[in-house]
Formats: sequence, structure tokens, C-alpha cells
Amino acid sequence: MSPKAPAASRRVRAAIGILAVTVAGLSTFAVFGLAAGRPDVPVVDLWSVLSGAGDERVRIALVDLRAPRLVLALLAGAALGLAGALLQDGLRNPIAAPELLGVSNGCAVVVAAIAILGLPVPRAAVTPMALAGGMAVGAVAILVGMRLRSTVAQVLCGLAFSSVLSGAIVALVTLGAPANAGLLYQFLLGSLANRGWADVQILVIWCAVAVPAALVLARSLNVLRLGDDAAATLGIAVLRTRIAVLAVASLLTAAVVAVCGPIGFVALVAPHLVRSMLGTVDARWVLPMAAAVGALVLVAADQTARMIADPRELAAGMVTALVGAPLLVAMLQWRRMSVLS
Amino acid sequence: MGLALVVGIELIHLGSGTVRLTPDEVAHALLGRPEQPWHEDIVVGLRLPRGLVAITAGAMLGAAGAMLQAVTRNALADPGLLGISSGAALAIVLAASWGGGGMSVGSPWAPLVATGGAVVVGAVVFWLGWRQTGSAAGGGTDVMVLNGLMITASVSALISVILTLDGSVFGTVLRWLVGTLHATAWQDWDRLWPWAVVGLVAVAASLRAVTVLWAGAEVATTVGVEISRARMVVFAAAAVLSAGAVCAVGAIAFVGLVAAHLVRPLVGSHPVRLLPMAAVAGALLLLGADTIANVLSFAVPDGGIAARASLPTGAVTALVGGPLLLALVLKETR
Repeated sequence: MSPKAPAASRRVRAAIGILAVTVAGLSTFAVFGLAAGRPDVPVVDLWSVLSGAGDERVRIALVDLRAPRLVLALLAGAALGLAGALLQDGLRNPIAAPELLGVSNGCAVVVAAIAILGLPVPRAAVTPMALAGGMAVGAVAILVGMRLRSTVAQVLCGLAFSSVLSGAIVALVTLGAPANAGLLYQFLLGSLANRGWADVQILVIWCAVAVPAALVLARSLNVLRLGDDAAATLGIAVLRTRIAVLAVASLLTAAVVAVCGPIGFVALVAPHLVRSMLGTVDARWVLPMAAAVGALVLVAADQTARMIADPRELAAGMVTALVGAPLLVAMLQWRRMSVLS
Repeated sequence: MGLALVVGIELIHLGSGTVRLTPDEVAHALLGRPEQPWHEDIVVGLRLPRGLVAITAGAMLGAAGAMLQAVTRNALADPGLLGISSGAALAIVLAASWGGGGMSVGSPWAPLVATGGAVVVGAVVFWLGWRQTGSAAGGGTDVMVLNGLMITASVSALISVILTLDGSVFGTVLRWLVGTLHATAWQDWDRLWPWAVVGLVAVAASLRAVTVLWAGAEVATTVGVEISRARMVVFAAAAVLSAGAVCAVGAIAFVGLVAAHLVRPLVGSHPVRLLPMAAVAGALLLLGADTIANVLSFAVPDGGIAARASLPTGAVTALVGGPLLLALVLKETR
């Protein structure tokens, strides 16, 4: 037996554990998320209502209002988890994430401009345009950041871009749609309220492209981890791989932002949770598991935002920031991540 | 020269709004010889308090930024970036939400509550940096700002949650998340100036401590100043200044950061010269940002009184301050 075997079996067990928890958590939230609200459907009646036995209006509420929201949270969370894992490995920066590098806000400013200024853009074109905005900002932030030694400085560089862009978002909302605090929250923090199957469709299409692309990149990410010189020696085109990583991560982020707004901290935290649970940094394991954990985290956050202050509703981005930011600070404290070097 | 600029911008500031006035008309109205009788009502009655609040709050933020930069020896220190402003905003929002009518945003005790919030959140950021790096000044330049960023993110989320749950009390979310001088009136000025006096006393009292800390730990020990106590004095004074400003104008970021860096090349970094000049620069910046915000707001097509657009001043400071932050990050952490 090779000495690697125990670690490998631990990894398999952890992966099965994560998947089991994700499936269990997601089904619990699915049942709860479908049943709870106004009207409140008892869990035991859920099936009969869905199969059309009960009040038709209740069935519509469940199928056309609550179900798409759950699916949307699941997809968006998975996309964000993947995007975070991609950026962290691709840039070798454990605190990289689309919201910290300006990618999310770059997408959001485009979406906000289209929505508020009423630009004649077909719905299908919003995501590609958001992608262009996110990639442009992300590429500039990353290119500028690469000149910096410290990973923290790279993030601060992204913060500078994010500040300017959020200033622009605030300006757009306040000048274009005054007195609409809901829009402000949507474009600054992200929210999943009042979405339908049409929104899910957008996300499904883009995820169908980007998720396989992300998983294909896993092997190159593992090599990139060894350092640029080693990776080049091993036959990886470092710059081209990085651009591909940024493109796929931006695509995932842009699709989410176009539909839900710049929800923060899911992309940042999910990969870290996965790495510490799996006990490995192998991207072939981390990427799919980060998607699973991201999905669970966002579904949980969105349902919390929806239900915790009933009858009022919080924005999902409030919950993720409220929980995610302290969690990240705590992780930085406990692990004394190598980022501080 | 700075003061002359402040006066000049103030004349433009007072002239902008629904009724546009030339600087000449504004000056006449201010001197009590208005060209039209209603000019005086508009300029003195409605617009002057906003200008005065912008100047005073800007000066407070500028001084606070310069003090924080001196005491942390951190070029990126700013009340907005280190979580101090958001802590003050959180305290006000919390107090108003729990305290009901007695502890409203307009209460004369609001600055005191805000100072409490500023001190607590600021201390958390410093403590985190100290734990991570062992540096008593709150961590290295970038680590400290990263901690401030994270703490600000969660504090702002908490503010949003409270405002969503208790929307009736506050009127505007923009003020506590972004910062704005929209709808500033004479009673706001009446509440701000006493606290500005307190801030001035705090600055005077901590000037020696700032100077010693700026000179470095060795000098401080040589002249017999206890470093940790001096640090706390300066930190408290900066918190008092920031909290007073936040009460009046909300959580505006970047003014303190930009002000200190603007004047440092002109007067050097000795605190005795830097602090007053940073205050003047802060006043200039906030007034200028508010003038831009005001002019832009009135440049958009009007949607009627109810839908009157008002660009928050904090959005303008972020648009101006972001690029400066980038330049500083590139310079400091190369």
C-alpha cells in the first residue's frame, strides 16, 4: 500500500460527506422553501398541491414563484463557488474572488446601466455585455495587480476598481431611478427576489457553457499551482491558461450578476471550506465540490433572507456579507494564511 | 489660498440648485444686499447650511485621516477604509432603531453614540491586524486595509438589514451606506458645530501625541511618552472627529485619505503643519464633491418633486478616491 492511500481515502470520504450534506441540505431547503411563505402549505400537503389536487393559485405560487427562486439560488451559488475556486487557483491568491477583484462590479455596472438607462439591449445580450464589462475590469485589475508582490495588495487594487464602480452604480441608480432603494440593494448587494423561470433559463444556458470549461481547466490549475516557471517547464502556456481562467470565471460571474446582482462572499468562502474539508488543494476535487458547497450556501442564504424577517424580506447579498465577511476574517486569523507573507 | 478656494467653491455651491444663481448674486445675498428679495431666502435660508456642513464635516474627515495616517504610519489610513465611519453609522442606526423617538438620528447625543460605534469597530480592525502581524500599530499597510474592508462589508450589511427591517425611521439608506448631504438644513448645522468644537479640542489635546508617534517609537520612548497610551489618545480623537462628521453627512469614504495626500507634498508630513492643511483640503474636497453632486443632480431631466434625483456626495468621493487608492497601493506595496 502506498503511503498516499490514507490521504486519498480521506479525500474520497470527505467528498462523499460533502455531497451527502449538500444533497440533504438542498432537499431540506427545497421542501421548506416551497412550503413556507404566504400562503403557507403544510409539508405533508406539498405533493398533492404540486400535482394539482388543491387550489390552482397556490400551485402557481409554488411552481412559478418559489421553485424558480430555489433553482436560481442553486445555479448561481454553484457558478459563484466555481468562479472563486478558479480565480484563487489561477492567480495563486487565496483571497481572490470576483467581488474583490472588481469583476462583479464591472458586470453590475453594465447591467445597471442597461436596466436604468433603458438601453435597447435584447435580454439575451445582457449577459455577454456584462461579461465584457466584468472581463475588462478583471483583466485590468489583475494585470495591474500582477506587478504587485503581495496577494493582499492585489486585492486592494481590485478594491480600488470596485469603489469607483460602486460609486458609478450609486450614481446611475440615484440619478436614473431616484428613491428606489430596492434597485440600489439589487445592484450593490445582490438579491434573488421576484425572479422567474426566464431568469433561470439565462443562467442555465451560460452555465452549460462555462461549467464544463471550468472543469476542463482543473488539470492546468494544478500545474499553475507549482509556480509560473515550473508550469512553463511542464508545458503549460501560463499566460494563456490564466486568460482562460479569468474568462471562464468572469463568464460564470457575469451570468450570476446579470440575473441576481453582485452577491458577495460565496465565491470567496466556498472554495476555502471545501479545501479544509477535503484536506487537498487538488483542483480536480476542489472545483466540483466548491460548486456543490456554493449552491448549498446560496440557497441557505437566500431562504434565510426570505424568511428570517417575515413579512419583510432581506436581500440575499446582505446575508452572505453578514456571515461571509466575518468568516473570512476568522479564517485569516486561525490559519494565518500564507497570504500575509 | 486654500481658504480662498473654499470661499470660491462655496459661492458656486450656493448658486446651484433649482434656481441657478451667479456667484455675484450669491455674494450680494450673503452680504445682505440681495438683488432679488428671495435670493436671500434661498441662499441663506436653504443652501448655506448645506455648504457649512460640507465644509465642517470635510475638515473633520480630513484631520481624522491625517491623524490616522500619522499614528498607524500607514499611507492608506482613512476613517472610511478602516471601518471607523461604518461603525459610527451602525451605532446611529442601531440606537435609532432600538431607542425609538427618544434616540433619533437628530438627537444631540447621536455623535456620542456614533463615537462609541466608531471606537468599537475601529478597535476590532486594529486588534485583528495586531493579532495577524504582531505589529502594535494594527498590522502592515495592506493587511490593515484588508481587515477594514472585510469588517466594513459586514457592518454595512448589518446596516442594510436594520434599514430594511425598520425602514420607517430613517428616510434614506443612501446616507448610512454611501453618505450624502441631500436635505441638509440649519438644524443639522446646529447639531454639527458643537461637536466640531469638541473635535477641535480633541485635536489640540492629541497634537503632541500625534507628533511623537509620527516621529517613531524610538523618539517617543526617548521623550518619555508611553506609546500605547499616545496611540489610544490619537485614535480616540480621530474617532470623535469621524463620528461627528458621519452624524452629519453619513458614511462618506476617501475624503480623509485624499485630503492628507493632497497637501503632504506641499507642507511636508510634520503633523503640526499637516493636520490644519489636511483639514482645509478635506473641507475643499467635500464641498467640491458636493458641488459636483448637486450640479449633476440638477442636470438630469426632472421627474417632478417626488422623483427629484439627488446624487449622493459619497458616490462622487468614491469616483475620485478610488483611482487615488489605486495609485497609493501601487506606490506603497510595490
